[in-house]
Amino acid sequence: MNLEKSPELVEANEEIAALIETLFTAEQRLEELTAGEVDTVAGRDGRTFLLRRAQEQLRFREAAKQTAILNELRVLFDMMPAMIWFKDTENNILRINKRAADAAGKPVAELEGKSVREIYPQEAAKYFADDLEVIQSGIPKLGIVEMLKSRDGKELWVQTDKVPVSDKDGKVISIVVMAQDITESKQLEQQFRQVQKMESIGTLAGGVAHDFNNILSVIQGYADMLKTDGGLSPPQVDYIEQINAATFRATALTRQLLLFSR
Amino acid sequence: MSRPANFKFQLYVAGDTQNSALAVANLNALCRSNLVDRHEIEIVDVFREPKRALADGIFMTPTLVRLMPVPVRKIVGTLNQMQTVLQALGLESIAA
Repeated sequence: MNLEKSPELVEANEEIAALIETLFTAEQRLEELTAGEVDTVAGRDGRTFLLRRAQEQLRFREAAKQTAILNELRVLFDMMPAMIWFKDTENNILRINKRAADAAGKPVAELEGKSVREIYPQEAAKYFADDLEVIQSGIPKLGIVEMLKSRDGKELWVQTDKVPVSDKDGKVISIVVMAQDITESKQLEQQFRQVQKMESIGTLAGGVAHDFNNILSVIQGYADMLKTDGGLSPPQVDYIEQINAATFRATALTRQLLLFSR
Repeated sequence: MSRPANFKFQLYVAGDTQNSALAVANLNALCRSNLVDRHEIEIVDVFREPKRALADGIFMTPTLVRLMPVPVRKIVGTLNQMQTVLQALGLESIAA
Protein backbone atom coordinates (compact mmCIF):
# COMPACT_ATOMS: atom_id res chain seq x y z
CA MET A 1 0.00 0.00 0.00
CA ASN A 2 1.27 3.42 -0.88
CA LEU A 3 0.97 5.42 2.32
CA GLU A 4 1.53 8.74 0.62
CA LYS A 5 -1.67 8.38 -1.33
CA SER A 6 -3.78 7.08 1.52
CA PRO A 7 -6.71 9.52 1.86
CA GLU A 8 -6.81 9.02 5.66
CA LEU A 9 -3.20 10.02 5.92
CA VAL A 10 -3.65 13.10 3.74
CA GLU A 11 -6.58 14.11 5.94
CA ALA A 12 -4.61 13.51 9.14
CA ASN A 13 -1.69 15.52 7.79
CA GLU A 14 -3.94 18.43 6.99
CA GLU A 15 -5.47 18.25 10.43
CA ILE A 16 -2.02 18.26 12.07
CA ALA A 17 -0.95 21.21 9.90
CA ALA A 18 -4.05 23.11 10.96
CA LEU A 19 -3.42 22.31 14.64
CA ILE A 20 0.17 23.52 14.42
CA GLU A 21 -1.06 26.70 12.77
CA THR A 22 -3.55 27.24 15.60
CA LEU A 23 -0.88 26.54 18.20
CA PHE A 24 1.50 29.05 16.65
CA THR A 25 -1.22 31.70 16.43
CA ALA A 26 -2.17 31.08 20.06
CA GLU A 27 1.40 31.27 21.13
CA GLN A 28 1.91 34.51 19.23
CA ARG A 29 -1.22 35.99 20.81
CA LEU A 30 -0.04 34.93 24.23
CA GLU A 31 3.35 36.54 23.65
CA GLU A 32 1.60 39.78 22.63
CA LEU A 33 -0.66 39.70 25.67
CA THR A 34 2.17 39.09 28.09
CA ALA A 35 4.70 41.31 26.27
CA GLY A 36 6.91 38.26 25.87
CA GLU A 37 7.41 38.06 29.62
CA VAL A 38 6.13 34.52 30.03
CA ASP A 39 8.19 31.34 29.73
CA THR A 40 5.65 28.57 30.30
CA VAL A 41 1.94 27.98 30.26
CA ALA A 42 0.05 25.19 31.95
CA GLY A 43 -2.40 23.04 30.04
CA ARG A 44 -5.78 22.08 31.45
CA ASP A 45 -4.33 18.71 32.39
CA GLY A 46 -1.66 20.46 34.43
CA ARG A 47 1.17 19.82 32.01
CA THR A 48 3.70 22.62 31.61
CA PHE A 49 4.42 23.89 28.11
CA LEU A 50 7.60 25.76 27.45
CA LEU A 51 6.94 28.52 24.91
CA ARG A 52 8.98 28.43 21.71
CA ARG A 53 11.00 31.54 22.49
CA ALA A 54 11.95 30.21 25.92
CA GLN A 55 12.83 26.87 24.32
CA GLU A 56 15.17 28.63 21.92
CA GLN A 57 16.73 30.64 24.73
CA LEU A 58 17.32 27.49 26.76
CA ARG A 59 18.78 25.71 23.76
CA PHE A 60 21.04 28.65 23.03
CA ARG A 61 22.14 28.85 26.64
CA GLU A 62 22.77 25.11 26.74
CA ALA A 63 24.86 25.33 23.58
CA ALA A 64 26.83 28.25 25.04
CA LYS A 65 27.39 26.25 28.21
CA GLN A 66 28.62 23.28 26.18
CA THR A 67 30.98 25.53 24.24
CA ALA A 68 32.29 27.00 27.48
CA ILE A 69 32.88 23.50 28.89
CA LEU A 70 34.64 22.45 25.70
CA ASN A 71 36.84 25.54 25.79
CA GLU A 72 37.70 24.87 29.41
CA LEU A 73 38.54 21.26 28.58
CA ARG A 74 40.67 22.45 25.67
CA VAL A 75 42.66 24.70 28.02
CA LEU A 76 43.11 21.85 30.50
CA PHE A 77 44.02 19.49 27.68
CA ASP A 78 46.70 21.87 26.45
CA MET A 79 48.00 22.51 29.97
CA MET A 80 48.61 18.83 30.77
CA PRO A 81 52.33 18.13 31.21
CA ALA A 82 52.20 15.37 28.60
CA MET A 83 51.65 14.91 24.91
CA ILE A 84 48.11 13.64 24.55
CA TRP A 85 46.04 12.65 21.57
CA PHE A 86 42.92 10.69 20.78
CA LYS A 87 42.76 8.44 17.77
CA ASP A 88 39.90 6.54 16.22
CA THR A 89 40.26 2.87 15.38
CA GLU A 90 41.42 3.73 11.86
CA ASN A 91 44.61 5.56 12.90
CA ASN A 92 43.08 9.03 12.46
CA ILE A 93 43.81 11.77 15.00
CA LEU A 94 40.59 13.04 16.56
CA ARG A 95 42.08 15.42 19.13
CA ILE A 96 45.62 16.41 19.93
CA ASN A 97 46.93 18.75 22.59
CA LYS A 98 49.30 21.63 21.97
CA ARG A 99 52.32 19.93 23.48
CA ALA A 100 51.93 16.95 21.18
CA ALA A 101 51.30 19.17 18.16
CA ASP A 102 54.44 21.18 19.00
CA ALA A 103 56.46 17.97 19.13
CA ALA A 104 55.12 17.06 15.70
CA GLY A 105 56.01 20.57 14.52
CA LYS A 106 52.53 21.45 13.29
CA PRO A 107 49.59 23.51 14.54
CA VAL A 108 46.78 21.60 16.25
CA ALA A 109 44.30 22.52 13.51
CA GLU A 110 46.48 20.89 10.90
CA LEU A 111 46.66 17.63 12.79
CA GLU A 112 43.13 17.06 14.06
CA GLY A 113 41.19 14.95 11.60
CA LYS A 114 44.32 13.79 9.83
CA SER A 115 45.53 10.24 9.48
CA VAL A 116 48.76 9.31 11.25
CA ARG A 117 49.86 7.92 7.86
CA GLU A 118 49.98 11.47 6.53
CA ILE A 119 51.94 12.84 9.49
CA TYR A 120 54.38 10.00 10.15
CA PRO A 121 54.37 7.99 6.90
CA GLN A 122 57.29 5.84 8.02
CA GLU A 123 56.26 5.05 11.57
CA ALA A 124 52.47 4.94 11.06
CA ALA A 125 52.31 1.18 10.51
CA LYS A 126 54.33 0.47 13.67
CA TYR A 127 52.18 2.80 15.80
CA PHE A 128 49.02 1.29 14.37
CA ALA A 129 50.19 -2.25 15.16
CA ASP A 130 50.42 -1.20 18.81
CA ASP A 131 47.00 0.43 18.59
CA LEU A 132 45.42 -2.66 17.08
CA GLU A 133 46.61 -4.69 20.04
CA VAL A 134 44.83 -2.27 22.38
CA ILE A 135 41.72 -2.06 20.18
CA GLN A 136 41.39 -5.83 19.90
CA SER A 137 42.18 -6.68 23.51
CA GLY A 138 40.53 -3.65 25.11
CA ILE A 139 43.42 -3.69 27.59
CA PRO A 140 45.58 -0.58 28.06
CA LYS A 141 49.22 -0.81 27.06
CA LEU A 142 51.20 1.14 29.60
CA GLY A 143 54.75 2.32 29.92
CA ILE A 144 55.95 1.76 26.35
CA VAL A 145 59.41 3.35 26.32
CA GLU A 146 60.80 4.32 22.94
CA MET A 147 63.29 6.66 21.38
CA LEU A 148 62.14 9.15 18.78
CA LYS A 149 64.09 11.56 16.70
CA SER A 150 62.77 15.09 17.16
CA ARG A 151 62.41 17.49 14.21
CA ASP A 152 65.83 18.97 14.86
CA GLY A 153 67.40 15.52 15.01
CA LYS A 154 67.68 15.31 18.80
CA GLU A 155 67.09 12.04 20.62
CA LEU A 156 63.79 12.15 22.41
CA TRP A 157 62.86 9.44 24.86
CA VAL A 158 59.16 9.04 25.53
CA GLN A 159 57.10 6.83 27.77
CA THR A 160 53.73 6.15 26.20
CA ASP A 161 50.47 4.85 27.61
CA LYS A 162 47.74 3.71 25.24
CA VAL A 163 44.31 3.47 26.79
CA PRO A 164 41.22 2.21 24.96
CA VAL A 165 37.97 4.20 25.16
CA SER A 166 34.83 2.10 24.89
CA ASP A 167 31.23 2.98 24.10
CA LYS A 168 28.44 1.87 26.41
CA ASP A 169 28.35 -1.56 24.76
CA GLY A 170 32.01 -2.10 25.54
CA LYS A 171 33.18 -1.71 21.95
CA VAL A 172 36.47 0.17 21.64
CA ILE A 173 35.79 3.36 19.69
CA SER A 174 38.98 5.29 20.22
CA ILE A 175 42.34 5.30 21.88
CA VAL A 176 43.89 7.88 24.16
CA VAL A 177 47.62 8.10 23.83
CA MET A 178 49.64 9.87 26.50
CA ALA A 179 53.33 10.33 25.93
CA GLN A 180 55.70 11.80 28.46
CA ASP A 181 59.10 13.17 27.61
CA ILE A 182 61.48 11.16 29.80
CA THR A 183 64.67 12.20 27.99
CA GLU A 184 66.13 13.81 31.10
CA SER A 185 65.50 10.88 33.42
CA LYS A 186 66.70 8.53 30.69
CA GLN A 187 69.96 10.48 30.50
CA LEU A 188 70.29 10.39 34.28
CA GLU A 189 69.68 6.67 34.20
CA GLN A 190 72.41 6.22 31.62
CA GLN A 191 74.80 8.32 33.71
CA PHE A 192 73.96 6.24 36.77
CA ARG A 193 74.65 3.03 34.83
CA GLN A 194 78.00 4.44 33.71
CA VAL A 195 78.91 5.29 37.31
CA GLN A 196 77.95 1.79 38.43
CA LYS A 197 80.06 0.27 35.67
CA MET A 198 83.06 2.36 36.63
CA GLU A 199 82.60 1.36 40.24
CA SER A 200 82.68 -2.34 39.48
CA ILE A 201 85.70 -1.88 37.20
CA GLY A 202 87.41 -0.08 40.07
CA THR A 203 86.71 -2.89 42.50
CA LEU A 204 87.98 -5.43 40.00
CA ALA A 205 91.14 -3.37 39.28
CA GLY A 206 91.84 -3.05 43.01
CA GLY A 207 91.63 -6.81 43.48
CA VAL A 208 93.82 -7.53 40.45
CA ALA A 209 96.40 -4.92 41.52
CA HIS A 210 96.83 -6.55 44.93
CA ASP A 211 97.31 -10.01 43.51
CA PHE A 212 99.62 -8.65 40.84
CA ASN A 213 101.72 -6.83 43.44
CA ASN A 214 102.20 -10.08 45.31
CA ILE A 215 103.46 -11.78 42.17
CA LEU A 216 105.77 -8.84 41.41
CA SER A 217 107.23 -9.02 44.94
CA VAL A 218 108.11 -12.66 44.37
CA ILE A 219 109.84 -11.84 41.03
CA GLN A 220 111.74 -8.96 42.51
CA GLY A 221 112.66 -10.94 45.64
CA TYR A 222 114.18 -13.82 43.68
CA ALA A 223 115.97 -11.46 41.27
CA ASP A 224 117.54 -9.71 44.28
CA MET A 225 118.56 -13.05 45.79
CA LEU A 226 120.26 -14.05 42.50
CA LYS A 227 122.16 -10.77 42.50
CA THR A 228 123.31 -11.11 46.14
CA ASP A 229 124.35 -14.73 45.73
CA GLY A 230 127.05 -13.55 43.28
CA GLY A 231 128.95 -15.66 40.77
CA LEU A 232 127.13 -14.09 37.86
CA SER A 233 128.75 -12.94 34.66
CA PRO A 234 128.45 -9.18 33.92
CA PRO A 235 125.80 -9.76 31.20
CA GLN A 236 123.81 -11.90 33.67
CA VAL A 237 123.94 -9.05 36.22
CA ASP A 238 122.66 -6.78 33.48
CA TYR A 239 119.75 -9.18 32.79
CA ILE A 240 118.83 -9.08 36.44
CA GLU A 241 118.92 -5.27 36.37
CA GLN A 242 116.50 -5.40 33.43
CA ILE A 243 114.18 -7.70 35.43
CA ASN A 244 114.36 -5.29 38.37
CA ALA A 245 113.64 -2.26 36.21
CA ALA A 246 110.64 -4.00 34.59
CA THR A 247 109.19 -5.08 37.96
CA PHE A 248 109.68 -1.54 39.21
CA ARG A 249 107.66 -0.19 36.30
CA ALA A 250 105.00 -2.86 36.82
CA THR A 251 104.77 -1.94 40.53
CA ALA A 252 104.25 1.70 39.59
CA LEU A 253 101.42 0.62 37.27
CA THR A 254 99.70 -1.46 39.93
CA ARG A 255 99.97 1.50 42.32
CA GLN A 256 98.05 3.55 39.76
CA LEU A 257 95.44 0.82 39.50
CA LEU A 258 95.08 0.80 43.29
CA LEU A 259 94.67 4.57 43.30
CA PHE A 260 91.94 4.30 40.62
CA SER A 261 90.05 1.68 42.59
CA ARG A 262 89.73 3.95 45.62
CA MET B 1 3.91 52.86 66.42
CA SER B 2 2.88 49.55 64.88
CA ARG B 3 5.32 47.74 62.64
CA PRO B 4 4.18 47.48 59.00
CA ALA B 5 2.81 44.07 58.04
CA ASN B 6 5.16 41.37 56.77
CA PHE B 7 5.08 40.43 53.12
CA LYS B 8 5.03 36.83 52.04
CA PHE B 9 5.68 36.03 48.38
CA GLN B 10 5.72 32.97 46.24
CA LEU B 11 7.39 33.22 42.88
CA TYR B 12 6.57 30.54 40.35
CA VAL B 13 9.38 30.07 37.84
CA ALA B 14 10.34 27.62 35.12
CA GLY B 15 13.91 26.50 35.82
CA ASP B 16 16.39 29.10 34.73
CA THR B 17 14.51 30.34 31.66
CA GLN B 18 15.22 33.96 30.85
CA ASN B 19 11.98 35.58 32.02
CA SER B 20 11.97 33.51 35.20
CA ALA B 21 15.54 34.47 36.02
CA LEU B 22 14.66 38.12 35.41
CA ALA B 23 11.64 37.89 37.70
CA VAL B 24 13.76 36.41 40.49
CA ALA B 25 16.32 39.19 40.14
CA ASN B 26 13.67 41.90 39.99
CA LEU B 27 11.79 40.60 43.02
CA ASN B 28 15.01 40.39 45.04
CA ALA B 29 15.91 43.95 44.06
CA LEU B 30 12.42 45.19 44.91
CA CYS B 31 12.47 43.59 48.34
CA ARG B 32 15.98 44.80 49.06
CA SER B 33 15.06 48.39 48.41
CA ASN B 34 11.50 48.47 49.82
CA LEU B 35 10.96 45.63 52.25
CA VAL B 36 14.15 45.16 54.22
CA ASP B 37 13.73 42.54 56.96
CA ARG B 38 10.01 42.19 56.48
CA HIS B 39 9.51 39.81 53.66
CA GLU B 40 9.68 36.14 52.84
CA ILE B 41 10.19 34.75 49.36
CA GLU B 42 9.58 31.20 48.28
CA ILE B 43 10.66 30.25 44.80
CA VAL B 44 8.65 27.41 43.24
CA ASP B 45 10.04 25.75 40.13
CA VAL B 46 7.16 24.36 38.05
CA PHE B 47 9.57 21.95 36.34
CA ARG B 48 10.27 20.37 39.71
CA GLU B 49 6.81 20.75 41.25
CA PRO B 50 4.29 20.87 38.40
CA LYS B 51 1.44 19.58 40.56
CA ARG B 52 1.86 22.39 43.02
CA ALA B 53 1.48 25.03 40.33
CA LEU B 54 -1.69 23.35 39.13
CA ALA B 55 -3.10 23.13 42.65
CA ASP B 56 -2.32 26.80 43.23
CA GLY B 57 -3.93 27.79 39.95
CA ILE B 58 -0.73 29.04 38.34
CA PHE B 59 -1.05 28.87 34.57
CA MET B 60 1.97 30.83 33.45
CA THR B 61 5.51 31.47 34.62
CA PRO B 62 6.91 33.65 35.94
CA THR B 63 4.02 34.43 38.31
CA LEU B 64 4.44 36.29 41.55
CA VAL B 65 1.88 35.56 44.26
CA ARG B 66 1.49 37.91 47.18
CA LEU B 67 0.18 35.65 49.95
CA MET B 68 0.47 38.22 52.73
CA PRO B 69 -0.94 40.67 53.36
CA VAL B 70 -4.28 39.42 52.13
CA PRO B 71 -5.98 39.63 49.68
CA VAL B 72 -3.84 37.29 47.61
CA ARG B 73 -2.62 38.92 44.41
CA LYS B 74 -0.98 37.44 41.33
CA ILE B 75 1.31 39.22 38.91
CA VAL B 76 2.43 37.53 35.71
CA GLY B 77 5.67 38.55 34.01
CA THR B 78 9.24 39.56 34.65
CA LEU B 79 8.35 42.37 37.13
CA ASN B 80 10.42 44.69 34.96
CA GLN B 81 7.99 47.60 35.36
CA MET B 82 8.96 48.41 38.92
CA GLN B 83 6.40 51.19 39.45
CA THR B 84 3.51 49.13 38.14
CA VAL B 85 4.57 46.19 40.28
CA LEU B 86 4.84 48.34 43.41
CA GLN B 87 1.41 49.69 42.67
CA ALA B 88 -0.05 46.23 42.19
CA LEU B 89 1.52 45.06 45.44
CA GLY B 90 0.27 48.09 47.35
CA LEU B 91 3.79 49.29 48.06
CA GLU B 92 3.55 52.56 46.24
CA SER B 93 3.38 54.65 49.38
CA ILE B 94 6.39 52.92 50.90
CA ALA B 95 8.48 53.41 47.79
CA ALA B 96 7.53 57.07 47.52
